[in-house]
Amino acid sequence: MAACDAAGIDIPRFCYHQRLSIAGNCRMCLVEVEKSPKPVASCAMPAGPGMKIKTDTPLVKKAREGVMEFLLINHPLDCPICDQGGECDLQDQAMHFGSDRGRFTEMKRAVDDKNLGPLVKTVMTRCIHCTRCVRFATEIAGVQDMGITGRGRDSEVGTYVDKLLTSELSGNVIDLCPVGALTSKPFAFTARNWELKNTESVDVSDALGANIRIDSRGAEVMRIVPRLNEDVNEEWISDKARFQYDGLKRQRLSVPLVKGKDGGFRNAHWSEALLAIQQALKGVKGNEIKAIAGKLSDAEAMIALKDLMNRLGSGNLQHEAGFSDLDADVRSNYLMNTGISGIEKADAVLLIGSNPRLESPVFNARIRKMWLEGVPVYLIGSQVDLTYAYTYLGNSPEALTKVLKNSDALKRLKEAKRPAVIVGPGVLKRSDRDAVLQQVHGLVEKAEVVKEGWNGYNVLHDAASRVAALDIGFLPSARASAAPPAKFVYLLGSDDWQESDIPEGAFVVYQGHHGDRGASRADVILPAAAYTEKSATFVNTEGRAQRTKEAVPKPGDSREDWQILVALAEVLKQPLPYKTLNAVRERLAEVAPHLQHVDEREAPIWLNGEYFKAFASKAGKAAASNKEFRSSIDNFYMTDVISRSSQVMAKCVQAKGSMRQGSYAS
Amino acid sequence: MVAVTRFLARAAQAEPISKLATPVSKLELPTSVKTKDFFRECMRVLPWAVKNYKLEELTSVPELRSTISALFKQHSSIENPQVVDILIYKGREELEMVMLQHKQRHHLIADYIRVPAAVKREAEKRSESDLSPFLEQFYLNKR
Repeated sequence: MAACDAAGIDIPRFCYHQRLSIAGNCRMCLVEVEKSPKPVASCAMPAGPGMKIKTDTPLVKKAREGVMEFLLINHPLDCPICDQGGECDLQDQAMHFGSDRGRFTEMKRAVDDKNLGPLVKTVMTRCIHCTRCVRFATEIAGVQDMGITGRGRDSEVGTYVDKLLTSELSGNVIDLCPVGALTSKPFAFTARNWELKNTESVDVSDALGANIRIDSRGAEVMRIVPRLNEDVNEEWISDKARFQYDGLKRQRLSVPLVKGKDGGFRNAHWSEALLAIQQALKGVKGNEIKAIAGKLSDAEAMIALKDLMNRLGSGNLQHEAGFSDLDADVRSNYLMNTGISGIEKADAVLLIGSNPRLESPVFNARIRKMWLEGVPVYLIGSQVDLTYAYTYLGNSPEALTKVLKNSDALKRLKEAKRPAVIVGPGVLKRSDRDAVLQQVHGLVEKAEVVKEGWNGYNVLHDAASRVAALDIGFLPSARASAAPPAKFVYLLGSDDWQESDIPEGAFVVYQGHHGDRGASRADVILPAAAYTEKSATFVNTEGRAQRTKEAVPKPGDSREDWQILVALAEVLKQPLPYKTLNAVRERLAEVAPHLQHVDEREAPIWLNGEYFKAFASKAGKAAASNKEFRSSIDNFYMTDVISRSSQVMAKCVQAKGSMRQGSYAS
Repeated sequence: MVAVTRFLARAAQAEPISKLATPVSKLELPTSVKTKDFFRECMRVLPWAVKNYKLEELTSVPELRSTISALFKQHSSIENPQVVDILIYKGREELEMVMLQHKQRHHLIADYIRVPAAVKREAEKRSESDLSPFLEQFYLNKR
């Protein structure tokens, strides 16, 4: 079949999928091969030299018609009420290859629907047993939850013991299912695929920057599906990326709000809100101003905020994803240097303080793929189910020291041609980060993780805006640590700030799209656009700049983030030199030229250990505490304002909780 | 509602509009009298128009009166009787369209009623006389 695809000939298929193992059970791809007595399933037949394959003979046509007839015997005629209608492989192929009349007079069988949790809706009567979902669950997602029970006409796809699908990638079975047996539960009966507007965009729920397609109708996002990008997400996205969109409709800020004297918010017009900020800034010195950027901030907004703060005389810039003082001098120090797809070339992997299953499930699927191919995985971090087996080396900096001294793991890494070390946010967010990083650096040097033509030192981030913040230098300046307590704090979509970040009595401005923790602390609230409503640049954990696109209009009186900051700068009589989006991007390119090359990855230069030396001399002899490594994400389904406002995500948390308590098994 | 009945009666007779616009009896009257008469005619229609077009929630009769008189005052400098005649002709045409419901509610709102949001915006503009083009666009939510 691959040979035919390469030759540009389309062969109908149901069970065959490029990324899954070959099952050969739908028989739809039958072709005639010369000298073969009967038609063969092209998906399972290796192409040989001199082989003559015929795909449009009467025999093939008859075979397809026959297969189609068998498939349709037990497929219900409920296309009008089926969510797959219009994008259904079975529908399309029945039109193309099916017989033009039916001979069917008997009864159809019925199958009980299975409960796969709050995300995937099942109508198992429609199932044609292609087993794509089963193969996806076992091979890609790495959960042994699905399978086939029964034989012949009694066979059913389902979870064996009434379990939920426990994978963070479970939503992908919806795309894989060629019929309407597995469909999206939140999307059920809401729209038909032909009435949706498709917008190609980028996901911001984690630092991977998965490519997505936003399907919208009018002003509403109806669903989000993955887009193919071999270098980033292949064709998978996590459940959070796929299903958090309903959070975009809840808790939204739509008008500027100003806190009155009685402590309650009142609706204000933009000019009033900006003037209120101007009033609050009167008499506040430059070093008493602070800005915190959030997990979902885009590069354009951050550069505008940085320029504005610098004009006001403040260098106190923070990024809420914890480790604001990680320095950004050397790009290779905070990026995934192998690249996301490049990691597959590695022949040994060591994870330090990372739980990729929660931090980036799609990336975790790549590690699993490598593991399936025999690459050994080592872990220093919390011992959790990563969907693949690994050698557990401990969960503390002490374990790291032990590995460093002399161990099998070190030997294996050293022997490997292309070893990779993945440092997670569990390391970067520690208070003794510098000491731990020094050890990691030592390990990298000792195990020769960086060598000619290979840089295996990887950092996995957990927030979409993190790398862009580092790239443009959204960091506290050298003098910021000596600044007095802030009297004015500007939160750019920041909701996960530490209590210590905002002193009591400080005037707080919150600019963002959801009313969450940041907004409740604020004195002035400026409503901004979410990632589906603006064109903005995000940089993923491997340093690839990607842009979202505007799929739906902004709600109410909200504005784009960079516009708000430029307007504020004008009201404060500190005008910024750019007034259009393109001008902002030119400014971005001045600061970080690679942000101009959208969808391309700018590989960082490795400074060959020089940086490590400088780092060591700067960090001095800080001692690592013996605290355990912890992932920065406790709850996969609720990491940012959008997912926290999403009902679907809340249902996931609930379902997972009740399953853990055992009340789900019936 | 004398004015309304009179207009409706005329419309029912389907008189050509040219005749309506220049009643023979008034042709000889001085310009100032003709203008005043037409002005009063308009004013008399306003309460009915506000009720008929359900404009109570958006405006009031006195507010409309001042808007209309401002429209008249716009042309106060014109003295050429022929031009005045044409202006009255056009005005009466407009009035007629209002009274015969040829105009709809949104036409009146767009032409004669100042929307509160626009008033607010204008006030903002006045409060910040040195508004930059960017800020102006920003407040109006235009790109």
